[in-house]
Amino acid sequence: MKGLMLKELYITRKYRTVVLVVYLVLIMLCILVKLSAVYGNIAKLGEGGAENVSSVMYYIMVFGGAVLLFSTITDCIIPDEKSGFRVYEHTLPVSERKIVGAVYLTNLCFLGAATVIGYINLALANLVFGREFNAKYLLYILAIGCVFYAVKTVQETVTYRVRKPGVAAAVTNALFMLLYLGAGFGLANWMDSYYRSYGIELFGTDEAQRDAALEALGISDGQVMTRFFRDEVMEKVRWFGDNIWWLAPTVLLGLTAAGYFLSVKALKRRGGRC
Amino acid sequence: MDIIISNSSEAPIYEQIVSQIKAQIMSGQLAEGDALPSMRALAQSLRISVITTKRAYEELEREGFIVSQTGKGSFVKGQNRELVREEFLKQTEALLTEACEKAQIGGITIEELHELLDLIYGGE
Amino acid sequence: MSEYENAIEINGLTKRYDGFTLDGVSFTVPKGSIMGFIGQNGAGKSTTINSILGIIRPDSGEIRVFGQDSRENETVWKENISAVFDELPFHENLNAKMLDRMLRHIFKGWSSETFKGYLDRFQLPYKKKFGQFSKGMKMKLQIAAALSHGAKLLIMDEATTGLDPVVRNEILDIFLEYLQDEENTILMSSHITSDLEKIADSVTFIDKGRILLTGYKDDILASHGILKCTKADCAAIDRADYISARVTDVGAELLVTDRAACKRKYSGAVIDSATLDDIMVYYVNREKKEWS
Repeated sequence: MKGLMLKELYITRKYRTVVLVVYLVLIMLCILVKLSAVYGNIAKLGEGGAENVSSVMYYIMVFGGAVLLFSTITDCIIPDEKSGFRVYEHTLPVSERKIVGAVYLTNLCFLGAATVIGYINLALANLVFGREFNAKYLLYILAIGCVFYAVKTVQETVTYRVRKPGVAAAVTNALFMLLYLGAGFGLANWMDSYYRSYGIELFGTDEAQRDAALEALGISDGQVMTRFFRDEVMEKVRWFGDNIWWLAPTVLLGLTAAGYFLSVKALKRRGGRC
Repeated sequence: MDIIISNSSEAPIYEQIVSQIKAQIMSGQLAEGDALPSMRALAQSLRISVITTKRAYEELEREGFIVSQTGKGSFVKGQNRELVREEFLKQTEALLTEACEKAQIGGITIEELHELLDLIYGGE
Repeated sequence: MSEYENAIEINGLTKRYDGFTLDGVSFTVPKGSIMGFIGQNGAGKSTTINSILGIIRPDSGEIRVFGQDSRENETVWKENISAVFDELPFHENLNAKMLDRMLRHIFKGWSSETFKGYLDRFQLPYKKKFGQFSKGMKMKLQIAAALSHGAKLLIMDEATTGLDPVVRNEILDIFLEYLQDEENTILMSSHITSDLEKIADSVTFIDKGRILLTGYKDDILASHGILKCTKADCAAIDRADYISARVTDVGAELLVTDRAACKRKYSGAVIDSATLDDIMVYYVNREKKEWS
């Protein structure tokens, strides 16, 4: 498997380097802005202005940086197909398990490495922006990584099952589109049911009617929304936050295992060429 | 040892090899105990199939000109005078047959043929 | 690896596609020999080779490599074979150094020294990206990799197609060198028969998914011949004696299968040697209308 992992590294090297360079540029930018906020032009914005900018940049550095770092989780399945390596692979003394295993293992390695760098990044940001250490952020960073990892895993499984690169990409996009649509619908339904609890229909009535009905109850649309997010949504988020310690590993392991087995099966069934 | 193969000759390649090696043995170019190149090496040098060289060596061995020992190679066998003479007799016979055929076509009589033979043989 | 007589044995290999069927292909490649697998484009050479390598799963038939079923212990027997394809199967951004590192961990018998030795011999750069290699260089690279892990069987699918004569010659020399070890075998598919004409020990002809002919090259070349005669005489030739005939305005040429017999039977007729090309052409054109 080592040989195949090396291949993953070599072939995606260019892409990963680009991402890392962008990451470094981002960090530089954030630090520069901070310096400017303290010593330079941004400081001239006045107390409140500089603070806000600083704040935003802090979050960009920590979470934006994390997003970039986790973008290094990638695979070379499509280049493999295009260059004909998939066919050559079949003449090598490696089993399908090893082939798929190499991809997933490399992903895990990069997940781990990016997380570690993400934590270092956090420490650096705390230093530069003078923030207190917040353990919750460790979790959030890891969560972002897991999301990227999960998405990649799904993508890879689809690519293994659907051999043509173009079709595989289309299928993955369609899957995520369905996911978003589903989430959108879910959210809309959720909001609708919340509104109904006030006796108002969210859909099917136009804004004027809704405003009139709300006025009758003595609250504004804005307040309903705020309550919705504060009570309903935050409740769910809190539940996630509390349970993430077992939820995340289970989902991830589940996805990885499912992805692994499906990929190996797909590879075995189709061989190198159809 | 030199071997020259002609692709345009009527004789199959393995026969050409056989006759050339035979000739070299009988003329003394290849002495008793001399090692011949391996079948594969010969095939590589001549750029022909190893099956061909194998056949050639097998025939030479069958006719008693060489002896092959697995693992060691092929060597020129000590020549029995009788065998050599026999071989020359065969070749001379073949040539004479050809000469006779031509003579018959050309309308040359057998007496003229005898004269010719005395002249040529005696003169040597 | 246990003792075996034939590096490859194929029996009744069948694979059906839309519009093309590989039908009952059978032939054997003895250990220590080089087999030329000849056929037109689309005749089924690649399908057969892909079946041997497990790239394609056949519908039926038996394939044995090194004397054992090719579907069992694939990762074991694949340690000892190398496949060479007509296109370089490596990503453009890889270079020889990376390939060396990769294959070192994949093959148990990989030798970096041997690989570098071949790279030097072929004058291939160690650090240049494959995308910048010429076609000849790409092929030589594949061969360098193929010969660097002690493979006992070399399977080549149209490896010399598209190369200029000088490079082809170099490569053929390498193959002959490889065959000096009796344990090594080569299966080579090509439609460039001149290469195989010289060095092949056996040949197998395939056309439209079926095997036309298989056997020792010398025997096949010695027994086939092109009989040339007048149009009138052509009609007198026994249909069983020839494969197909090419009739022109000024005469006829027929491929006969038993040269010696035909020489005796049709004395006075001109019978030339047939090349592998001729044999392939006459067999394939058997079914065409312009030929009879």
